[in-house]
Amino acid sequence: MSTIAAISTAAGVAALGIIRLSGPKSGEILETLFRGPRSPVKNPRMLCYGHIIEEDQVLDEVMAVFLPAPHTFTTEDMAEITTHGGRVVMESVYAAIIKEGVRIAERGEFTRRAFLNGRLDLTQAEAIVELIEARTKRGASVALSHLEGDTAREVRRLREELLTILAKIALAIDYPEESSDEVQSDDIEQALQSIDHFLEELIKNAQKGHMMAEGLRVAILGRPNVGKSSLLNALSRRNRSIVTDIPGTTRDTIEETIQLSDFPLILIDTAGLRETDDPVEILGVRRSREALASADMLLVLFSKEWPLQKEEVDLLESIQGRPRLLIINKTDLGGVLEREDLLPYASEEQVLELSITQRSGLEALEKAILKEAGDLEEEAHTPLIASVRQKLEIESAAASVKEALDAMTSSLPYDYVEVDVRGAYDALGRVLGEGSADIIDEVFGRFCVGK
Amino acid sequence: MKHYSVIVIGAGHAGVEAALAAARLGEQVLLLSLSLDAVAFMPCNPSIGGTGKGHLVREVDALGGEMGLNTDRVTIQSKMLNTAKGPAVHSLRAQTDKNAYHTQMKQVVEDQEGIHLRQGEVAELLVADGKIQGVKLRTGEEISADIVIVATGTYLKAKIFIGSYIENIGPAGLKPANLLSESLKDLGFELRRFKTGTPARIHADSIRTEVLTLHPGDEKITPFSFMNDSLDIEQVPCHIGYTNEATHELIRDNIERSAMYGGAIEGTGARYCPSIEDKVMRFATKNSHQLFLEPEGLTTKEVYVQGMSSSLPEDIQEAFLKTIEGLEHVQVMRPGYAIEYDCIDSTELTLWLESKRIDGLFFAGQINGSSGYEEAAAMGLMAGINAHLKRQGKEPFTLRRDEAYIGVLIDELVSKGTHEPYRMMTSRAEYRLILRQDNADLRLTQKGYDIGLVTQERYEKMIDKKRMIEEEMQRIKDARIPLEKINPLLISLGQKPLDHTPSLESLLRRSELNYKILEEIDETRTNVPQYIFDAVQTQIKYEGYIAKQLQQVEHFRQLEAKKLPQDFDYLNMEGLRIEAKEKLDRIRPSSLGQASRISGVSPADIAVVMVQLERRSRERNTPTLP
Repeated sequence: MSTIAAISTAAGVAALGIIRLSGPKSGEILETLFRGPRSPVKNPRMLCYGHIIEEDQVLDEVMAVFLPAPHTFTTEDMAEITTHGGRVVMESVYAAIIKEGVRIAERGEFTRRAFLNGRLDLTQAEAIVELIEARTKRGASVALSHLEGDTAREVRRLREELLTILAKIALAIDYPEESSDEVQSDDIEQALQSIDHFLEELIKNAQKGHMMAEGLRVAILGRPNVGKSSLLNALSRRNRSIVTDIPGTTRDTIEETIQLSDFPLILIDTAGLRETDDPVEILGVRRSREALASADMLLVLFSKEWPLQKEEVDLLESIQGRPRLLIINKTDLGGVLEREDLLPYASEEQVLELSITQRSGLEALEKAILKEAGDLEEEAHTPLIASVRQKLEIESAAASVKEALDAMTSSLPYDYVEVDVRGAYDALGRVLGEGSADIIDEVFGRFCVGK
Repeated sequence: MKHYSVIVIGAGHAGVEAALAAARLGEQVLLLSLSLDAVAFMPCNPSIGGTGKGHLVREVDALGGEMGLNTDRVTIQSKMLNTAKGPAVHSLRAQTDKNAYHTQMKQVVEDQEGIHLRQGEVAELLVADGKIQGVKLRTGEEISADIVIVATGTYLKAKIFIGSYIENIGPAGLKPANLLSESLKDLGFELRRFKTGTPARIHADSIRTEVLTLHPGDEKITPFSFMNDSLDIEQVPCHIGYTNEATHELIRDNIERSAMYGGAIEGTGARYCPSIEDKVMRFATKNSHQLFLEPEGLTTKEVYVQGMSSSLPEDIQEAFLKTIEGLEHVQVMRPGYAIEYDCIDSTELTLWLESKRIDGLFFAGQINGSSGYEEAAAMGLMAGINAHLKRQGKEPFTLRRDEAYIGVLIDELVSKGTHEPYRMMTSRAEYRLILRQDNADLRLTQKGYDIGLVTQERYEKMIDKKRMIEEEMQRIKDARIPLEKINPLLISLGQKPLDHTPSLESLLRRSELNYKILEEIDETRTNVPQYIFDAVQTQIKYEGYIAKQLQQVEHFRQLEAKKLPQDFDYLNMEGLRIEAKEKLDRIRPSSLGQASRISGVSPADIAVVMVQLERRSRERNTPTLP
């Protein structure tokens, strides 16, 4: 097994940076390059002060720690060197390490080694990759809950129940003369129904897991000139903007990711929703419709100046039941549109009034957004599934369980249904990256049979 | 020096199948047995078949083996198990006359041209340059051979235990084979001790059958052999009894006198074959255990007490049997005992049962760590066939897991190995929906015919069956049942009447209908054997699941088709865990599929092997620049 190294801290200006090594040569490299009053290799798991020296040249003043196998992230010998944060300094230390015959780690290789060495299950490995990629604190906490294995725990529990069913079926078919009272079709059917229910819960929350990791998609809708762009700018200015990308023409959608409290929000400014013949504008309108369809939350903007228009009424009717806030802008100008006009389309607290130019009502709006987002999160109290692969496997497990139930309803014998149960069991195994248990072991562990 | 093309050591269920198969394929076979009075002997239960095992016997028969035919000759009761479940798990089991089983099989062997059946004990395997040369008998005589098949069953260094009484003898007081173990060790085989057990035999007249539950055979017997359409015999009943709290108390009070619990036994026993002391101690909450009383034959009064195997002393065995209702006055004729014996680590073998290290040396039966007559016969047959193919310089004959229970059996033994005597079970066969006992001939007879083991008569019978099934499938597609006939039937079953004249096929698909119910109104029905209707009905009713299984098989075959090079350097393969490295290096799987079934090789390890395989094939395919 080769030794690998990587600069583990993200690019950008920071006070400190960490270089990590994994593999059998990790200790040897520290011995060669590190000089200090205490040797990290002789004092494992202790942070030691010293310098990195290459050909009598001091490259940096560092803290270093040696972590002997097997109780490390990758289960191999590891070393971590904390350098100063400058890019040039870090790279010179990194280059010195590589020169000693250490390989540059491939993307995700530490995690892969941890997985291959049996340290992590696949769910955890994926969650770590997500953790690295999570763009906000909230996303990070979703990722962290994977590490603690919430999804893994729930999936493992359901898989265990499927295993019990498989063991019972195995018992019944291999010991027909001894097992008649242990195995009943009704029990199997009931157990499958319960498993089906919990799998559906997992799937329902899969979408939300994605939302937490990537950010909540919030579309800003409204007729032209109601102040959509101003709202987006105002919210961005008031909160830390994370990434901005402004593609295409002004009629295209504009996205801005901000962090509101600890929620990542992707704000989407849409082109005006109105009938038009202008081809460029038609394109913009179509994208707006798409944004509307894919958004997790809708902010619909109205102007105090104008009465409710027909296209606005159409829009309001089409979004019934979705998470939404209806906002009357330009209250400073006075006009004809009243809260009462919007109440048929939303609850009391979903209708707000503000003036973006006067900077009034924005705080109330933010609170209302957080409340809507919180409600969304509340629904997602069951474990989240964030990766597409996991979601597909869980969906396939659910489909198998449903087929098993269908077959039982049409009174097929349960030794046939076993094919579906095993299908579901295997699919959940792939979520966890685990192989199958020996069914025979289960049978003899649980039941007294044999002659 | 005498020479044979094949020597088979041991004439138990593996040995006789191996010798018969090789001889029928034209080999000159020497079949050696410690005692000619123990050819195809049944030292344990007097029955053949059961769940999973019944499938094996049908497959042995379909390939041209003898076990099914011999069973049919001596059946005294027969039962198709699991009939309340789907057809895939129907399993045949026959109670046999154990003495007759031996004499009949011995006669078949004696009548077979090309077999020299001879009494003798092999002391040594003769090997030179990594190739088998022959055997040396205890008497000093050396006999040469191209192929040697070791089928020594439970006789190697056999030792029996009855309470504190221990003796170095084989099953049922037969002579053990004490010398061959050393020879195997010298050749580098790692031997292990396995353990099994058998219950007491009791006198039929000492049983009050009137208070026990009658366990009769099937009204209409399904014969084991595809060559027999029916079996007309008068059946002997079995009986069922139950242990009670008094039985358990007696066992618990004397548990330290059991050889198993006293620590005298070092061998590993099988969990599926627990002794009664095991059942009582491990499942203390169960207040009663079932036992089956099975007659051992028509010319003996000995009765086998299935479910009560024990290594307790004789007096305790008698005492606990007497606590059982119906056995109050039991007369024990032979005590139960535990038996320990040497066997090899089956992962040393190839999928065609040849040693990976010694060319021409095959192993079959319980020496490979299996248990049971049926498993032994299946391996014996495969070893016999492959001995012949090797002599001919032909490709070995193996069966995949999706083709036969035999394939599952051998794959598990050589890929995973076993830590206890291995018993075939229906639940081990993941593709069992297509591996039914009723279609073993359709699956395998063609293969047996191609090898040359299946007779013309058997082959034609299978072709006939195939044709009849196809014709019946066509008939039910074409046949229409008029509404005035089907609707009254549907209404009487509480179903909605139909609007359009249905095909017979569509009616058979419905869960509430079957051939039997439709008999009256199915006027074009022809006079074909019942098993044709059964086969067609299975095909129609379970079509969806059979299709699903075939899809899984497709996926399975892809992995099986990814062949692994035999020179793969697993020990230095980066990313493999140490356990996986060692296992892969030792077992040297022939395909990625086989590798994935090795215990201790995780899906992550398989991913690593896949990557290496891919890398290797890319390197191989990169053209070198001139």
